[in-house]
Amino acid sequence: MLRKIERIAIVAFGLLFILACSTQVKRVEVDTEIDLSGEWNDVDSRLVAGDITNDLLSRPWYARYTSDIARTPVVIVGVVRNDSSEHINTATFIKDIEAAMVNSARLDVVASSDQQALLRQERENQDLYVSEETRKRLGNELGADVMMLGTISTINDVEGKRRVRYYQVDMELIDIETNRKLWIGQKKIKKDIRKPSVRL
Amino acid sequence: MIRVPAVAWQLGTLLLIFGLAGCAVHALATYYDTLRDGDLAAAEEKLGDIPERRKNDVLIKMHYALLRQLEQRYVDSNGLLEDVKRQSEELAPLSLSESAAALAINDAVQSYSGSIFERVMVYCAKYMNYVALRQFNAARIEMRQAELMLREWRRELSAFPYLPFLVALAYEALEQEDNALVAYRRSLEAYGDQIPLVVKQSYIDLLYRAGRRRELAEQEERLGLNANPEPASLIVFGTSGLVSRREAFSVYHIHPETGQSFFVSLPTYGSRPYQPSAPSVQIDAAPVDFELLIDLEQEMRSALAEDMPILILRALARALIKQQAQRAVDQQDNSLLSLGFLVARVATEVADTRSWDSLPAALYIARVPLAPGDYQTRTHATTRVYVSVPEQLTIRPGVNFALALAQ
Repeated sequence: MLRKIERIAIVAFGLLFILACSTQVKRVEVDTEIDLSGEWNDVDSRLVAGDITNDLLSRPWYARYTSDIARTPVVIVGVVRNDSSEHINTATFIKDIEAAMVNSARLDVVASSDQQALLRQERENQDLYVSEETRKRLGNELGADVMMLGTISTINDVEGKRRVRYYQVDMELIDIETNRKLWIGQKKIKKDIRKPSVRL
Repeated sequence: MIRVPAVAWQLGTLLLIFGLAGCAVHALATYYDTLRDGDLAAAEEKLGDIPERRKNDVLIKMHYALLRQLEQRYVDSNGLLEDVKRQSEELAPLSLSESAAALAINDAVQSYSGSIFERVMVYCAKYMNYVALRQFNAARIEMRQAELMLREWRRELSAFPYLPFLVALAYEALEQEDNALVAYRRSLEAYGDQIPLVVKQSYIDLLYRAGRRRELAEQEERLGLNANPEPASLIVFGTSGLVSRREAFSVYHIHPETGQSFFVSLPTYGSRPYQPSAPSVQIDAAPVDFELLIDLEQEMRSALAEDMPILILRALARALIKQQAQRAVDQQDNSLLSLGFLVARVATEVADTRSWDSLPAALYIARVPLAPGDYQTRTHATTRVYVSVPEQLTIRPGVNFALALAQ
C-alpha cells in the first residue's frame, strides 16, 4: 500500500506533468524583445530599419539633393541581398525601411518592381473594363530619383557552445540617372550566444 | 473486490509502455519495407499508423521529410526539416534525467536527436530541396549552417568535405564566382589527397570561365586536368538505395548455479549489403557518369562505431545496476516479485536501434558539360525513379541543376 505522502507526491507530479505538457499562449507587445535562438528576428529588423532611416535622413545629402531637384526625393527600394548564414526574410526588413521612410514624410516611396507589375496590369484592366470617370490614367507613374540597395552579411565565431554572431547591414542610396552614390549607411549588431551543454 | 498485487501493476504498466512503443516500432519497420520496395503510397500509410503522440518526434519528422522530398513536395519537406533542426538542437545537450533513465531502463528512453552525421544530412536534404526549388541562396545558407554546427560540436571539416563543395555549386548558380572559388579551395583542402574528379573539374572549369589564367595553369598541372570550354554544365544529383536498418545484438545470461543474471543489448549493423548503383541517366542517348559524393551507408555505420564505446560502457553500467537491484529484490523472499523484476529486466533491456534509416544509401553527382540548348533525357533505376531529370531539358549558359532520386 502506498503511504499518504507517496500518493500526494504522485498526484503533484502528475499535475506538474500535465501543466508542463499543455500549450500556453500569452499576448505580448510587438516591440517586446524576445530572443529564443539568437538568430535574426523582428527586433533586429526593426532596430536596423529605424537606425538606417534615421541616418539616411540626417545626413547632408538630403538637403543638397532636395535643393537640387526642388522637391521631395522619390525612392524605390530595390534588392536587399542576404549574404548571411541565416534565412532572413528580407521582405519584412524592406517593409520596415519603407514604413520608416514613408512615415518620416521627407521621402516619397514608390512601389517596388513586383508591385509595379501588378499595378500596371490593374491599370490596363481598368482601361478595358472600368468607367471613364473612375479609370486611372496610364503613363502617370511617379518616377523614382534614387534606388536603395543593400546587403546583410554575418561573421560567425564559434567555440564549442559559445557563438559570437556579428551582423552587418550595408545600405546604399544611388541616383538612378547618374549612378552616383548619395549615401552609404551601415548598421552592426553583435550577439553573444551561449548554448547549454546540459539540460534537465 | 479483488486485490491486485503491486507487482502485477508494475508489470502491467511496463507491458503497456512497451506495447505502445512496439506499435511504433512495427509501423517503422513496415514503413522501411514499403519504402525499400519503392511504394510511396504504402509508405505514407504505414507512417500514418504511428501513434499521434509520436508524430512530433524528431525521427518521425525525418522520415516524413524524406517522403515529402520523394513526392516532390519540397516546401513541405523543408518545413519538416527545419522543425527537425530546431528540435535536434534543443535535444542535443546532455539530459540529466534522460541519462539517469538510460542507466536505469535502456538507451531508447532518451530523446532522439540524431548523430552529427544525421544532423548534417538534415542540412543536405534541405539543400537538395532548395536546389529543386531553384532557391540557391537558401541552399548555400543550409551548408553554411551545417559548417557552423560542426564547429559548435568541434568536428573537423575534413570529415564532411562535400559541404564547401556544395556551397561552391550554390555560389556558381548565384553567379558569385569569387565566393565559389573560395568555397572550392576550401573543399579541395578539406578533401586532402582524395579529391573527387567532379570537385577538381568544377574548380578548373570555374577558373577558366572566370579568366584566372595564371591560377588555371597552376591548378591544371597540379590536378592533372584540363578546363572544359563549354559555357554551360548540368549538375545532376542522384540517389539510390536505402541505408541499412540497425539491428539489436543481445546477450542474456543467467548463471545456472548462482542464478545471477546479466542482460545487455546493443545496436549493430548486419553485413554491408551490395553497394547500390547510381540511377541511369541519359542525355540525348549519351549516359551520364556519376561519381559517389557521400557514401551514407558507410557514414551511418561509422557514426554508430564512433558512439559504440559510450554505448557499451552505459550498457555494462546498466546491467550492473539492474543486477544489484535484482539481488535486493531477491533478498525479500518474494518469488513473484523476483520473477516480475527479472521479466522487467529482460523486457526493458532493448537496444536503441533508432536511426534515420529512410536516408538513401548513397548520394551521387555528375557534372556534364553541355552547350546551351534543348536536350532529351531518360532516367532509369533498378526499383523505382521518384524524381527524374526532366525529359525535355533546356540548358542555359552557366550552371544548371537536376535531381534523379531513385530506389
